[in-house]
Amino acid sequence: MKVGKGSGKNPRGAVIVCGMEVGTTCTHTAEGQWTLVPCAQDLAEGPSGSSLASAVPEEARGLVEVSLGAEIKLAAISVAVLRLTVDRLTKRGLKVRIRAANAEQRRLIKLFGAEPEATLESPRPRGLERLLQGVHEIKNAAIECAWLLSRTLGQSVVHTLRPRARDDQRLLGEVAAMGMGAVPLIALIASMLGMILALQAAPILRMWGQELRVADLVGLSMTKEIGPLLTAILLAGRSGSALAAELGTMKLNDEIDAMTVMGVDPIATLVTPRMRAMLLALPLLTLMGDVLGICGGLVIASVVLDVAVIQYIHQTLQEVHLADIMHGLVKSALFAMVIVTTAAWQGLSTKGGAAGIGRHTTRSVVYSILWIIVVDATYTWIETVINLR
Amino acid sequence: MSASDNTAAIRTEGLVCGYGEDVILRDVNVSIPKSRITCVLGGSGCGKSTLLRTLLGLEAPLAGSIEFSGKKLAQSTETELAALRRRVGVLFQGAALFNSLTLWENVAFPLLELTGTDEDLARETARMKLSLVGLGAFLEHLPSEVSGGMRKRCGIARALVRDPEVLFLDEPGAGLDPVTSAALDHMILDIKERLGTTVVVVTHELLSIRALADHAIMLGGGGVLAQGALSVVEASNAAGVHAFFSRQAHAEPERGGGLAELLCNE
Repeated sequence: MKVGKGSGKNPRGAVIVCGMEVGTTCTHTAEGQWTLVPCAQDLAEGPSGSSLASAVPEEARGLVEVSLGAEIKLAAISVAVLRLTVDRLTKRGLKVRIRAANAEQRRLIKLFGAEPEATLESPRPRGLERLLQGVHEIKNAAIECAWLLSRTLGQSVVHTLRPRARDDQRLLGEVAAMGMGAVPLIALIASMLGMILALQAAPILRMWGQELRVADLVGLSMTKEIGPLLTAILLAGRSGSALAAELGTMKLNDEIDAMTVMGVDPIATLVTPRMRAMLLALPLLTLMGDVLGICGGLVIASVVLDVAVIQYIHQTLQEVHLADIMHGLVKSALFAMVIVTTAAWQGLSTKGGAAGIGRHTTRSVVYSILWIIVVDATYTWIETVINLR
Repeated sequence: MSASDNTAAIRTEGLVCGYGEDVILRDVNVSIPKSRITCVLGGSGCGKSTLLRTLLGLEAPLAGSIEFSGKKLAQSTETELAALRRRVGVLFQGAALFNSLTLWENVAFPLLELTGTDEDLARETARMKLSLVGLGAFLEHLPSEVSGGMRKRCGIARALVRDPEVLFLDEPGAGLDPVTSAALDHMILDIKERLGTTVVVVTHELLSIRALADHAIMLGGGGVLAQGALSVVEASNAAGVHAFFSRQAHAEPERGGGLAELLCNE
């Protein structure tokens, strides 16, 4: 953009190159008036990086006339540029008037340049009010999760004690989708983790001549901690997100409301079968993960540390007790409850269209993992305190 | 029809509808006659769907009461409420079909879930209801494989599957071409004639209103503007009723000021 300051000889002040206007100009006339002549491109897009108003020099005082060339074809965005320019110049204490070249320009300025209506603002809480609202939302979320958990667990008991062919069919379908589908992934990750654990410990154990202890390390780590945690986090990402997205889509399509008005309980139909399937699949997958992790450790023990296979198995059986495995399984059952409750809570509270589904699905995974860790830490702490007494 | 008429299928008294602190409708005293078609009318955003959701129990009333066949909903237990819901059928605005189920499975869904009906029997019942709405040949199609009008008809078949006493239809003609919309209106009239069902249609389409309404409830200005026979409602002097039926737009006052005032060569 070129800024020209003239002396009134060229009141239009446009910079012409090869017969074409190339920039916005501002000239000072002998009558003490400033004339701003915007070029078509600046009016259509606004000058890059600055406003049209910056073309008016700082020393300008009094009246600025924005003069529109007859060749300029105004559009809504041009009028918006003019409005911003007028606002900025007025703030600088200048008076502004607009000179339109033809009736079409005047018509568009009247159409788009009218005084804007007052914008309706939604009341946004601030400060303490916002804090209290946050506390209120957390309280409501806790109540909703507790209600969902108690409801689905209660219905799971009823459905198990009084089986219906349709519920059992649904349960099998869910176990297959949730459990069988996750088998290859969990098998691969658990066995690799077993190997990594053994590899990390190998140099230290060899240094102390305790190679056989690799079986204790891998066996106890996998059964008590890594197996349940790893399986739960994988299923939170795989099945929890799928449940949240499915429920969210159904909610936005009014399918949940349709079920409710039919008298069909959406929780019993959509969430409880997932809770039962997860309570069944997660401990089983954890058990599988434990075994494969131990096998991974076995491979490293035998190849890297020259531990005999039978010795490794014997050591594992001696050091890993049934209670350790049971602790892991109890944890995984608790994690199953966390995953399904969080996914159902987020899915059923979905709003905000397609972006809302994405947001609530992500939240379902993040909150699930967070609560899995919290539950794990609490359980381990309680278990340790009890064992120490 | 007066609010004390005992032939009313649904009656409300001093009903206030809304979401949380946002009140959409105040002091709604309406009566929906049995075995008739009642159209709930009004412009976009006047609270028609909110009233419908409140009548269905999907939103709790902020105040007032709803009576269903003489029984107050607020005094009903959860079991009674579930039993009442089984006596109504609903077509949602977007049909709300379950996308992963075929048309017959959608229609049979309430039977299979609630009554433990044998699958063959449920399928046969679904086929009958789908034939009633002209979809007998599309049993195995998924909702995504049929047109918008067909999805709406399937939604009506699902709403009818347990022979409801009251059928609620939320904007049945929305998004449909005039011919399909007229066919749907014809089907709704047919259902009322043949099954004697009370039908509540939420709509703002004048052609449908004139074709269907025995009774009308006109909403606007945050409440009920008029109610009664369609001719009575149409003749009402209430502000907004005449404009609605004569399709008159509110003339927006021209806003002045702004850049127009700065034009120096007016």
